Amino acid sequence: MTEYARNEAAIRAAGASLVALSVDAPERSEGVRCELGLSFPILCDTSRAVVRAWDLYNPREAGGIAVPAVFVIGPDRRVRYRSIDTTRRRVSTDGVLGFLRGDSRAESLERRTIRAGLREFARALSNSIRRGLKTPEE
Amino acid sequence: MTPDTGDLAIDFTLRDSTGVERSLGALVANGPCVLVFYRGHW
Repeated sequence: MTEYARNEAAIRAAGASLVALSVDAPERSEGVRCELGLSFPILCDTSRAVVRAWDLYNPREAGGIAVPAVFVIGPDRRVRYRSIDTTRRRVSTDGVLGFLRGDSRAESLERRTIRAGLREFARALSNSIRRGLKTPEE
Repeated sequence: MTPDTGDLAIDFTLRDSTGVERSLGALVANGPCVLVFYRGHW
């Protein structure tokens, strides 16, 4: 989490939000969040329902915990990137950032060649909706 | 099953550490979201 605490701003700058998930109780996760000064939410899967549904449950350690993994989920809820890791070998935040930066460029390029006018219109519309709906961060 | 690249992620709703209910659908509504599963602290 320390690594994500350091790179939170860079991830936001790359156009993504950030959320963490563990099986820890809320008090424990809130302690971590305050200690590290995280401004992203930590989800508490205390029942292990989500880690089981996602097949990322490791029942053999510490009373049953999550397998370390990172996903980038798009607005259509499709998985754009995934890395299922181990405690010793995990994808770095640089790896995730590289994907986010490369992915957004590739996607806008690809769509621009297909329908330039419509794409630009959609982007302008979505930006104005977003600015109207979202309060500025920081 | 763990969703693979291109798959639809299984939606869920969980409370965060401050007690706020969050669904995956809502988390991604305004743009891509980096979802980090971690071991936790004990």
